[in-house]
Amino acid sequence: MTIDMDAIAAIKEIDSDGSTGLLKEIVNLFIDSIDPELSELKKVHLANDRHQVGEVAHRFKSSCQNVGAKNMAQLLLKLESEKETLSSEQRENIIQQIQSLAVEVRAELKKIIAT
Amino acid sequence: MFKHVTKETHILIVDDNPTDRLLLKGILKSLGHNNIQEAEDGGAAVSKIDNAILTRNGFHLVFLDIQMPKKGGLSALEAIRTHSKTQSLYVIMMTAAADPQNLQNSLKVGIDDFIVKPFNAETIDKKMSVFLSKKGF
Repeated sequence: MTIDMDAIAAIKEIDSDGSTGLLKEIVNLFIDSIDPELSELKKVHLANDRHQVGEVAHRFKSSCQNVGAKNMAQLLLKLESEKETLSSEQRENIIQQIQSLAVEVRAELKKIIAT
Repeated sequence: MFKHVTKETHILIVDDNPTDRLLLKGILKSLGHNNIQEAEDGGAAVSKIDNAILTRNGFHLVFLDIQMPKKGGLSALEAIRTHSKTQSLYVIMMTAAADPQNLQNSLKVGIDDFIVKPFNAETIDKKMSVFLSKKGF
């Protein structure tokens, strides 16, 4: 399970009768943001712009936390908090892990909003 | 959670993260607060605050993210606190657990309250209750 269902339950609780479609809206917004965020992350990583790596990781991490993608969030936190010390190879490795996780997260979230 | 029974509060959410804005807006609406505007960075926030004053429809409360591109939360906070018409505007700073230094800096400039991300409905409910009580809504 790549999604923390407590985070999903917390969003459902806000919209308890489902009338506003909040969960679907948040999840779709997140899914749509995955590719642009990953693309931006790779771009700033390849440019060796440590500050921007931290900025992008910070923003993406927050979105991941909202939908319960906690493993992705943890890796992004590492990129953010260790942006000054990680080597280029280490960053590359973390970004690849995030990319792999994103595939699972996207599939699982799609299942969640389909039910 | 119960809806807050109040006169209408005019709220501004400032955050570069769209999912954070959407989630916070959803929580505030579930609490009965529907007069909400959004800005995606500090510069846009200050413009919205200035425009709201000009139209005599000023904000009562601002949720302000610290870390944003372009004009960040701290710069926006400084602008708010130095303007005579907004210096007492109620500001709740939003911060990630990873940046305690930013929070310390914003405390120096002057915030009314803060929340640590990721936030949930219970936290926002409590913070709103404190705001409503302090401001006499």
